[in-house]
Amino acid sequence: MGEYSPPFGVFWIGKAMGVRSGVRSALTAGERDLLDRLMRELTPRLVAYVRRAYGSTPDAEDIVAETFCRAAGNIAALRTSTRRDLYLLTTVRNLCRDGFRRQRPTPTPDERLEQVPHGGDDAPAQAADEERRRALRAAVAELPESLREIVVLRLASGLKFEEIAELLHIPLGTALSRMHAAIQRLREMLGPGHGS
Amino acid sequence: MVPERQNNGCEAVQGDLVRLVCGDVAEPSAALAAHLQACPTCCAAVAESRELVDALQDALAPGPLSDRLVADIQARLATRAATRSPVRVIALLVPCAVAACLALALLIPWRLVPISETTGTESVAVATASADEPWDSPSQSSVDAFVKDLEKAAGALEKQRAANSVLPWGPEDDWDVPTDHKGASRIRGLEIHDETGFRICAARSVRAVGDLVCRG
Repeated sequence: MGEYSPPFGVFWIGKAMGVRSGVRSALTAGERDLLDRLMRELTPRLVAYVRRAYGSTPDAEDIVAETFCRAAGNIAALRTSTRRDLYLLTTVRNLCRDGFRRQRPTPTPDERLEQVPHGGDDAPAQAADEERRRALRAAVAELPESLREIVVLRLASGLKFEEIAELLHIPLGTALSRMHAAIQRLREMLGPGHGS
Repeated sequence: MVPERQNNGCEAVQGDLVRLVCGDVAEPSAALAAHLQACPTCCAAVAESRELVDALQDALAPGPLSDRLVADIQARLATRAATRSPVRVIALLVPCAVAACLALALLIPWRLVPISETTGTESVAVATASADEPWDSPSQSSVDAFVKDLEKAAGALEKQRAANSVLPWGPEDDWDVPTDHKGASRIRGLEIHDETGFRICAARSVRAVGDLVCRG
């Protein structure tokens, strides 16, 4: 008949409100592929960022895992993002800052360093290298958070200063001056010959 | 040790110096190059800082991807999909409740408003109908019976003066009665009731709807 409008509204309301019924089960095959690809590409960088900037290895992995869960829950935003690495870094950073880690005991800096798997060989040269790396990481850990984060984002996560400024919502000049201050501070802390 | 900084324009080239030291640029900018020639402090700082940055890059480099971590993330995603958190359940239930309310709000007028609009006291004919008459689609025999009774009761059914348009709820609806047909009525709909008065059918798009009824 076409006389009365059927109540189609009932069916499209849920879709219009963006409700998803699950996490992974609601993903399309393409979205799952995207997530898997990002997981393999970016997980080391994300773990390195959390580990160097905020805390221990197990905690870092916990946070990164949670990041991907949240990304899966909001896959539309991730899919349309032009800088997915920045999107995930922002999520990781928010989780770190919003107290996700406070739910768990925070290990001491020494414990953190012990948990970092690097080498493991007993060869003297490698042991010396590892000792030097530890000293550098310990020095970075001693930096104030605002400086440490810039160092980690630039040297561990490989972001450009423009991207760091965007991620941290600070002017580019501030990012550069913080990096400059961090380098100065590290040179003072480590003394000459730190790189050799 | 770090030499004491000289304040001879070092601040102005700080950004360029950092970019050079971090490897963002291969060569110093013209301003920095000029400054480095004049400032031995910054000149020494560049070499030392480059060495430090290289060492830091090595020390802070991301470790290899752990298969265990990937498996852990995938397991978490699967678990999260299987067990919905209370927040997620609420997020699902709230829109469902809203949808149900909207559905009710849509359905109630859908069932009531058109009937009150499309039927009126002008309906003078009585059609015979079976109890299983479709709600908005009366059988052809019912419509025929309605028109026949209507013609008998009204005496005159001016089909030529049918309304221009009687589309339901459309802006073109034209139920006006021409001024030269005083006392006439438009047929605005068809209702079929059973013996107890219970309405079992209502329709607007059947034959005769929109026609003028002039009581003879």
